[in-house]
Order: sequence, then structure tokens, then C-alpha cells
Amino acid sequence: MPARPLLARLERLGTLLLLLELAAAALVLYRRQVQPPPPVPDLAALEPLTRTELEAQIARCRFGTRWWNLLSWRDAAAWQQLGEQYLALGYFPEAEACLRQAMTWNRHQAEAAFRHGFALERLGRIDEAIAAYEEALRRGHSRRADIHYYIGKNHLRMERREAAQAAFQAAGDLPAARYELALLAAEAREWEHARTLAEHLAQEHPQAYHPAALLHRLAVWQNDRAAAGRWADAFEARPHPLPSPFDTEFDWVVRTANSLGRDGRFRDAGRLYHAGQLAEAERLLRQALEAAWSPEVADRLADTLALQRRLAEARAVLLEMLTRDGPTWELLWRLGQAEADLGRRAEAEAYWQRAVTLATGPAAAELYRDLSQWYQASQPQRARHYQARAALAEGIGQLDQGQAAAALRWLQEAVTADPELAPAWFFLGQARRRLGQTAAARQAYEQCLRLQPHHGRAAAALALLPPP
Amino acid sequence: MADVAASNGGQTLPSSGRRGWRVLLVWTVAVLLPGAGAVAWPYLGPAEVEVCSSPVSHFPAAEWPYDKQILGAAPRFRPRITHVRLVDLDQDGRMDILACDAQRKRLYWYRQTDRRQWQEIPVGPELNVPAGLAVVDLDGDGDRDIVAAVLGSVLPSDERIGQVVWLENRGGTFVPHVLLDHVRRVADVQAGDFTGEGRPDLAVAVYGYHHGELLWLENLGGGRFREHLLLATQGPSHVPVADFTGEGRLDIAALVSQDHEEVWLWENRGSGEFAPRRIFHTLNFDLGSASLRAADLDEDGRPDLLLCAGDNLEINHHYPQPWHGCYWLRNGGRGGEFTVQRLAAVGGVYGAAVADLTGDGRPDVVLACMFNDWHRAGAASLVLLENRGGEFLPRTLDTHPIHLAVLDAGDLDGDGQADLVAGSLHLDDLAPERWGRLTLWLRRPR
Repeated sequence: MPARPLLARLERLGTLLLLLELAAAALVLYRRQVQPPPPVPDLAALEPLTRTELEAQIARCRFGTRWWNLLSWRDAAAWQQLGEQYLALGYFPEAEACLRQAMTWNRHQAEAAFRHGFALERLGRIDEAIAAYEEALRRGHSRRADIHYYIGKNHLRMERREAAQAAFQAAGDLPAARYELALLAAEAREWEHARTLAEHLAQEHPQAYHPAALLHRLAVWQNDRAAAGRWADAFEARPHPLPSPFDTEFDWVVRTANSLGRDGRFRDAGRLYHAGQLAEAERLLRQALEAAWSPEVADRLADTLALQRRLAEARAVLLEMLTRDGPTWELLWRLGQAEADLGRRAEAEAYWQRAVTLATGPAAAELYRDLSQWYQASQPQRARHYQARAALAEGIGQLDQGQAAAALRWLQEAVTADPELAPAWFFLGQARRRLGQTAAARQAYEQCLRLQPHHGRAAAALALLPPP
Repeated sequence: MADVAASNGGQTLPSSGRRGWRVLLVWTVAVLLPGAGAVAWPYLGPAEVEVCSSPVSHFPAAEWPYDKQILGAAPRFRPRITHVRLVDLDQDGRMDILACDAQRKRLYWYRQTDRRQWQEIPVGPELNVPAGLAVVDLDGDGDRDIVAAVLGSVLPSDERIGQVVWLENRGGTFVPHVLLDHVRRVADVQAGDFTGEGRPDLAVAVYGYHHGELLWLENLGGGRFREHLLLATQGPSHVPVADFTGEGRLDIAALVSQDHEEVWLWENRGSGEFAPRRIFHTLNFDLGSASLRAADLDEDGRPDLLLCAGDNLEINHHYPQPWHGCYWLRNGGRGGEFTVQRLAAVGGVYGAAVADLTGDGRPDVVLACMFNDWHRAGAASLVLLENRGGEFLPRTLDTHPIHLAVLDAGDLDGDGQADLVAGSLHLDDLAPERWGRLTLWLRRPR
């Protein structure tokens, strides 16, 4: 007799369990029907911090982030985010798949279509990319001129001249599109048209080198040596590119990449470092290094330790950088500073001399200045030599930034400190010429040629000056 | 309540017995259902989201047996080899290897001391990212000097960090002389007597970034050189020198990338005069021109050019594009007229070398892939284009190491068969287990 209620209870319980299971199965099947799982590439090649974050995002796409995702977790925003992360990490096919899905679910959002177009472009699926960009335009994307520009560039990828031209014309006044039209005119040997377009751009954007470069080419093609020389000089004097819509997308991809895993820790540590929260910065940097060693992170860690006066530890980190990733002049300079801070003067000087052998470019000015100070008391001649090199490096840097007046001061200091430094006279001539000081420029070039008769650039620059 | 009997095939079961069977059935189904669901799961529901794959990354395996050898110590962090060249530097009859190491900031000479035995010798002082070199007797003293192109930085920079440095060979010790300074990133330098005065001059590709230039340096003797501008443009990366026009004078070919994607020929008119002519151009600014090499592929006695396309350094990661591969600029003679033929579609190609690998008497082409679909297994890093009489069939020679940027081919071990050497240029942290530095593929004896 006691078996009957037990059996009945077991039957009711079993039936209930079965019904629950069937309901859950129906729900899961339904969910599976309405949304496939996100694509998951082989993530083994990633460092563990990034891998974990990416896996969490994959889970958000798979299971949703809100309670109503229980019924349908078509979370287009999560898929778009995953697509962007894949894209920033180089998983382009998976990125395209996620962004395609996000665009499909988000039938009205123009940005989703735009991003999908960008992902297709990365895969070289150009006609599909153009279609996605056109879809973004249909959905009312606010960056209409930029999108026409992208469409034009994609037609160029397919070598479709007329279609590209039409798209660039549709981009209206966008400087980058107008430059492309000038290039297309030049390719079609419509010299006058190309020249007119480029000259307008050159006037409107006096700091931009693109139009000057094109005008130089036009002169080379037409064998006009005088114009070629003039525009080559203008090309050199203009420091910046024309603004391009691609700058926006580049920033977006880099920002996304730098927000993930080790690189995210590195970015956050940088903020903490600048806020003076050195202990917390150090913690994040050590986490990042544990995930995957990189010289950039190690360098910041050495800085953080040095600021905390933990000099021996900072030196050890720098030495590890040298062992693992080889020398750079910046690293050798820093090692010299670390040795000097520890009172090891001979070691400091050895690293600095090695750095000087390796160093090139304007950024080395600080290294030369340090050396100038180092030798100030003991070897004044040598100190002046480094002072001249520091001033020359600074002057060149300023000149290439389009700051001729600032460059002039540095370059005058360079030739004062070392009157035998021929390159300093050449760049002094360049600065003076750009400031309209023709006679003084001539003097400087001539002095350069006296010191170094074979200095070809000084001879060419002299020829650009009007007759005295 | 009395027991209720039920008829069942002439037999009668008590109601508690039937309930017992029902309970058993219900519980059996309830227990087995999740397992059955798990088994059936892969076969249920819609197809997964479609993920495309690269059509230019995977090829049939090449039938070319080799012994693989690693040169130098195992890398401790991203190796960055920017140039590699087979040359008998000490003229002892054994082929050596010269390599530019952008990570260790040096030129390395791998001297072959015995067959397939190598001694690593640093050449000259540390240089700020050597990226190219010319081996030439610059001072006419009978030995082989080296002229190095100093890039200053592998990563983009518009600063004047480039140099041209002559490493003068003084009995096996190499003494540096800076020939050109305060210019932007120098990617290549090649030597040739352009003036006919019996001294080797230099062609220089100043790649830069926003700004750059194509120069030639006139050798005035005594280690003095005067620079001459050929073209003011960003992106000159390679300057092969040869008599392309057949007029008996050395001309300069130049690859200009950075969106220009063009090849120029600077035709030597004598006395230091050059006439420019563009011999290749595409509207596809994204072609990804990566290198240019002179080679007589059709063996007609006229130097052709091989243009590699595979550079996509526009954002932080890269994917093989359908137009990547190797383009043959075939010299048709008649003053250097070139026709263009794409040899094969291969993703992310940076370097090419020409040698008869298959032993059929026809020159084959080998390609080094810098950027391929490395996230998928089997993506080729070294590809043989097997010459089948004008048709070039791509075959995977190897998939490891990845990021091969530079390549050379020749008979390294003196067995009469072509061997290969390639250098890896790693710019990201991807897959350290597939990193490489300098790798040799030595043909096994037939």
C-alpha cells in the first residue's frame, strides 16, 4: 500500500522533469533557430589576457547580456563589438561574419552597415564592400562624403577609373577626394586639369605635401626641370598629409586594439603613471608583462621603478630589454642614465658612447645634450661638439615640422658651437630661405660648400635662390 | 478502492504494476533526453555563420626535399631580419650569407667555414636598423666592401633617421664611413658605374614615410659622394641596377610604393644624365608593392623585373588580398619596353628569388610570404612557382616560420643544386612558436 503514493509522486515528479526538459529543449532549439553561435577562431596564438576578454565577449554573444535574451539573444551590439575586436586583432574573416550578422539584425542602423563595409574591404571583397557602403548611405549615415570617398577608393582597387571618378565627385569638397580626382586627371594625361586641381589644393592647404608631390611629378613627366625642382622643394617644406577619412577608421581600430588584454593594461598603466599612481601602474605593468613580454611595457615599468627611486630594479628591467630585444640608442641612453644614477660613471659613459654610434635623427638631441653637460667640466671641446649636434638635431626637427623660425635659432646655435659642421650650415640655409632671408641663406649654403664641396643638396638649394 | 484490472494481451496487470512501468518510462526518458540532445546538438538547427577563407593562402605541397637549418641563436623576442643575400664575401670559393638584423642593429656575415658549417661574424659597428646592402669594391682596392642602407626604424617615421654607410673592408675588418646623413628612412642602396668613370656610384631609395626621395650618389673618389635628386616622393623601396635598355649603360629601376604602386626606369643617357620613364603602374593604390628584383626569367639575355605585392601595413594587422602575388615585368628589348604578367596569386608576398629548383633547366621563382592568413593552419610562408614553360604553378614549400620577408636563392653548399635562405620580420606577438630568424632550406642530394 505505501508504494502507491510513492509511485504517484515519482510519476508526477518525472513528468514534471520531462516537461521542463522539453520546454528547455524547445527554448534552446528556438534560440538556435533564430541565432547561430558566433564564429570562434583559434585563439591559442593570443596572449592570455586578451584571450580571456575575447572569450567573455564570445559568451556575451552566445548567451546575451539581459534577461530577455533568454528568449532571443540577438544582441546586435554585442556581435558588433565582437566583430570590432576580431578586426582589431586581425581575425578578419570572423570579424566580417560578426559585423555582417550585426548589420542584418540591425536593419536600420547605418553605422553597422558602414563597419561591415570596412571589414569586407580588409578581406579584399571589394564589390561587397561597395554594396555595404551604399547600404550605409541608404540608411542615412552622417558621413556621406567620407563614404563616397571610400566607394571611390574601392573602385580604384578594382581599377575602375570612371566609377571611381564619379564617387570622388559625389564626395564634394572633401580634400582627399579632390586630390584623387587630380591624380586621376594626371593618370589620364590631362595635365592642365590635374595641375589646376592640385594648385587649388596646394593653396588651400599650405601645410599639406600631397598636392606639391603631385605637381612635382607633373613637372618630371613633362621634363620641366625648373618646376620639378621648385615643387620638390615645396614638397619638402610641407610637413603634413591632407586630411583623410581613413584617419578616423585607423584611430578606431588602434583604439580597439589598445583597449584589449595586455595592451589595455598598458594603456591604463600609462594613465595611472601620468596621474602619479605609481604602485598601481606598476601592478598593471607587471600583469601585462606576465601575459606577454614586450619592450614597450618593460620600458614603462623601468620608468615607473626609476620614479620610485628603485634604481637597481629599473636597471635590471632595462638590461633584460637589451638582452631580449637588442639595442636601440634610446635604450642605451636610458641604461647610461640608470648607471649614472647608481654612481657608476664608467658604465654610464660606455652606454652613452654606444648610443651615440647608433643614434640618428632629431630625437637624439636630448642624448647629445646630456653628453654635452656630462663633458662640460672635463672636456669643454667635446661638450661643444655635442652641443652643436644637439642644436642641429633640434633644428632639423623643427624645420621638418614647418617651424622655420624656431629652427633658425637652433641652427644658429649649432654653427656657433661648431663652425665646421657642414650639415648645420646647409640646414641653416634652408631655414633662412624659407623665412625669405635670401642673402643670408646664400651665405650659409656657400659656407656648407666650402666645408664640404660635394654637398649636393646645398648646391641644388643654391640654384633655387634668385640671382644676387 | 479495489484494484482495477486491465486487459493486456490476455494477461492482466495490477494498476500499481502499470504505474510502475510508466514511472520507469518517464524517468528513463527524462534521464536520457539531455544526453540525446547533446548528441543530436551538432546536427540540429541552422548552419553556423559563414566565415570566408582566403583563396590565396593554401597550395598543394611542393615536391622538393630539403634539410632545414637555423642560422644563429634561437630568438628571444620578435626577430626582425630586413635583408638577406648570398655572396662569397671573402672570395674563398664558398658561398656566404649576409643579413641585416634590425633587432640586433647589425649586419651579420655567416661565413661558410666548411660545407654547411657557419660562423656568425658581426660586420662593422651597430647601425640604426640596416635594411639593405650592396656588396661592391667601392674604393677599388680589390676586396669586397659593403654599403648599407640604414632605415632608422622599421615602423613608420617621417624623421630624418636614415643614412647610407660604407663599410670599408680592411682585411676582413669593416670600417664605417657615413656617405649620406640627415635623410629620411633609407630602404635600399645599389651600386653601379653610372658615369662611366670607372668608379661605382650608388642608387639610393629613401623610403621615408610622408616624405622621401630617389637619389643617386656620384662617386667623386676618395670616399666623397655628391647626391643628385631623381624624384621627390615618399615610398621608393628598391632600386635594382642593370642595363635594362641594352644600350651598354647601367640604368636604375625603382619601385615606388606608399599608394603610388609604380615602377620607374631611369634610363642612363651617359654623363650623369637620366631620363625617367614609368614602366608599371596600377590604379590600385592598395596593391601592396613590397620588393623589386632584377632577374632574367625568360633567359633571353635581357634583365626582367619581378615585382612582389603583399604589403598591407595600413592598420595593425593584415590579410592576404586577392591581387597579391608576383608580377613579372618582362623586358621585351627595343630600349627597355616592358610587358606585365602576373605569375601567381599568393597572399602577402614580400620577397622573390629566381633559381632552377626543380632541376628541369628552367628558372623557377620562390616567394616569401610576410603576411598570410596565419590564423589558419597550412597558410604558406614559402611558395615555389614551378616554371612549366611559361606557366607558373604555386606550390607550398613550407608553412613555418611565418612572416618571411626576405629571400635569396643559390647553390649554398656547392652541390650544384639551388638552396634557399629566408629571413623573418616579426612585427607582432602572434604565435611565438612559429617565429623564425634566418632559415636555410638546403636541397637534399638527388
